[in-house]
Amino acid sequence: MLKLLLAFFLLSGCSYADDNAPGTVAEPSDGRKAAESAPVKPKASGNAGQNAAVKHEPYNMDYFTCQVPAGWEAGRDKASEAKNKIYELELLGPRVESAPVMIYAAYYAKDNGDFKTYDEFIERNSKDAIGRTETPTRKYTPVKETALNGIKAFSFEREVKEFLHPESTSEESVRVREKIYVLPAKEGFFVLHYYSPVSAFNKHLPVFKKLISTFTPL
Amino acid sequence: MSIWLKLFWRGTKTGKGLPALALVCLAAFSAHAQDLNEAETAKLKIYDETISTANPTMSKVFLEDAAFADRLKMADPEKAAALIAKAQAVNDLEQLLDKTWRDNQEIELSRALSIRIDLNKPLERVGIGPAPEPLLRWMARYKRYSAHKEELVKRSIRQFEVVFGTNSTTGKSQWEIITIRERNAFLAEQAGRRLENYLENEPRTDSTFQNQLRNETIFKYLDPAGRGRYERYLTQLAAADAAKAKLSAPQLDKIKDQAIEQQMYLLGGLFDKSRSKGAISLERKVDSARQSKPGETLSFQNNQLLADMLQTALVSEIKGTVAGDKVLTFYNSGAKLNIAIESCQGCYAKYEPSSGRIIFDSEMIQQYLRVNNLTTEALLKSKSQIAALARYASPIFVEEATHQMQHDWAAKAGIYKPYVQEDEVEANSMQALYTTEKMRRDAKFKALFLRMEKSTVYAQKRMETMDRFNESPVKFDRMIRQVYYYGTPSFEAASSQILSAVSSELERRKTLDAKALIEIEESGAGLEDAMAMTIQELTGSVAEIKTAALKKIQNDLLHKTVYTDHYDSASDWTGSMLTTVKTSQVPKPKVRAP
Repeated sequence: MLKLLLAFFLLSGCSYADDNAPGTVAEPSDGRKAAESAPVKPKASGNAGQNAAVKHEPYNMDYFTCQVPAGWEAGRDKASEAKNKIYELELLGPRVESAPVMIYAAYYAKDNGDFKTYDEFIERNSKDAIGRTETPTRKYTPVKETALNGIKAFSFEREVKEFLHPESTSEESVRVREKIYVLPAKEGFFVLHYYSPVSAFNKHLPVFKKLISTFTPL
Repeated sequence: MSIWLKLFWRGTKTGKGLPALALVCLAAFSAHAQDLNEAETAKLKIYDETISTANPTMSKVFLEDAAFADRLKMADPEKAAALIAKAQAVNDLEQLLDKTWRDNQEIELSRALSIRIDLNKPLERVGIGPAPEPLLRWMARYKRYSAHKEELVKRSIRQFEVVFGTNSTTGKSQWEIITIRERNAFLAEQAGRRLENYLENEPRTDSTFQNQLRNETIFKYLDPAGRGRYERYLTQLAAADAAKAKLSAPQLDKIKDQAIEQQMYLLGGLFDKSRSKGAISLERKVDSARQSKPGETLSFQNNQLLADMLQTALVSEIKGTVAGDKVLTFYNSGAKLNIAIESCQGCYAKYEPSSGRIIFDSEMIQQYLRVNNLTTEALLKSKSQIAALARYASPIFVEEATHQMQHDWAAKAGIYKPYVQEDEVEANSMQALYTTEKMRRDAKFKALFLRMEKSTVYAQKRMETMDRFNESPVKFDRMIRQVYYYGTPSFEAASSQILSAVSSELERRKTLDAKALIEIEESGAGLEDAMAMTIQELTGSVAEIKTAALKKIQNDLLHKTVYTDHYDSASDWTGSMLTTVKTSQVPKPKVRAP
């Protein structure tokens, strides 16, 4: 069937979209617009005040409430939550270049499957596995003590060279920047996590700021 | 039954076929459900009707209705298996699409959909496949995904308009009858030809040309081997461009009209024996990206010798670590360790079940030689150099040995085991656990990887795998499934595909005459052959497998907790051992070399 199809294309001289050069394939014209017209439309990059056009809506789960950007894709893995006691909301935002902007808001129960304390979370996420804060593929900022809505919190950032095809010998990668807030709770702790390609980090940071400014542990 | 069928076929010509078919189905349906009571029969009818239209809500309800499923298994095992297979396939499809998908995961989503929507897959029996366009109608009917996700799915199934644009409809009808797999193969071939043309004829290496290459969207359709070659080409271009800036005009003149491989070869010679720090760094980059020179390649005899020496050195290297000792306990219990060095076709290493060998990629080893200015002869003469190579290869060895252990577990349990994502979650976790412990406790290992991560992507990826695992084993599980191995089915998807194919075949055999059945039993594949088949081999050849073998595999997969308990236990072990490795003293090894 494939050979027949190939012969058909070669014989009929079927052209690719938009009559690109032979051998090139078009990006979906209308689809790309759809991706770019996703809910977050800051008027300019790097300014929280200019992100007022983004509509937010309330989100509630058993452990916290917050305002999330309308139209961002929200997801939870309830089977994993039941097993590991890490209750996490994942928000997928607009795409910039070929990578996504994502926000995670999570409650780690006291007996969660990964960390005994919030200190351990910070220790393991603010350095690489052997305690470095700068490597050929990673760079971390120091951990700062701060406050979120009057609640004690810790924050830090990391920049990671993420390989897009780690299973093969391919070398394709993208640089991502992550900003993480950790909020100790009476039992367990909360983590607010912003993930973005470096080039889009400042542009969509106001959306994350809106979420954290409305974040309320229950 | 044959009279009913004749009535139906006659009826199709006169427009009365459907009522006749309904009677046929009703008769068959009643016969199968004879052990169910009236309420259960009605329930089955509802499940059957809704699941057959790929209703995801009802599929989930059915899968969670364990009591009813057990009743159905008793009353009509084939019907139960077929319905479970359909429901699992729909449920699996819904879970797949519900997940967060990034723009840069189009290839992974396309691969994931192509293994689910194809000829003879369970989804075809609920109206989704073999061509993928019905998926869009299913999404419109049952799901509310964002415009972005809908667009990503259209790109992933290689919808005609997305690939060829909306200006032309030539070839659209032919395109829309082939599968995603066939579409991807066609596009990969086109992309591969274009890449080959550059590799053989293009002398440019400047940044403008590099950007032009990056922006050619056709290259996103390359298959994994082609993608590996494309990425290597980009690395070669960057290394060549940086190196050329250090060359004199006569030196530049020598290479200006050459294609990339010739340029890299000549540049390797020009930078040999450089002493300045900048030149050494450039030399490592050029050496890492170029092809091997004579003396850096492995002859057949050297290959055999090196494989033997590497095998011994690997055993010593992994001894005394939590993950390594688990692997050695396995080999000490009678399992055979057989190391080979060959081209891995785009991977660093693999376990090959058919031969029982763990194969290391020859190019990875040759790159190691180039970056360390070693010849094969010098390597083979030095025990310490062999030990260093074993150190470098040991993380991926632990991963592949874990795959061998998985095959051994299934063989000892006497069950059919498909290759699934869960296998990779365990194997990658073992690799990451091993690397974590070695980086913390073995100074030589640490020094080697800290040096090599500056010049090889292999080392960088081992470090990244370790870091992501250390950040959170729970999130690591998701990353393995979403990023690394989306082309591989989950256990649920695999068992669904196999159960569907096996159940349909067993149903078909009920309609065969005695002669045909005897022929299958005489010439068909037996249990041993069937148990060694991959998912594709098994589902593609069910008609040629003996009935007892099919029933045995069906029975294995219907007892899914045997598998899920094993995967859960493996996942819990690596997670808990990470805590042990990081927080306490690991007991001294008591494991002897196999």
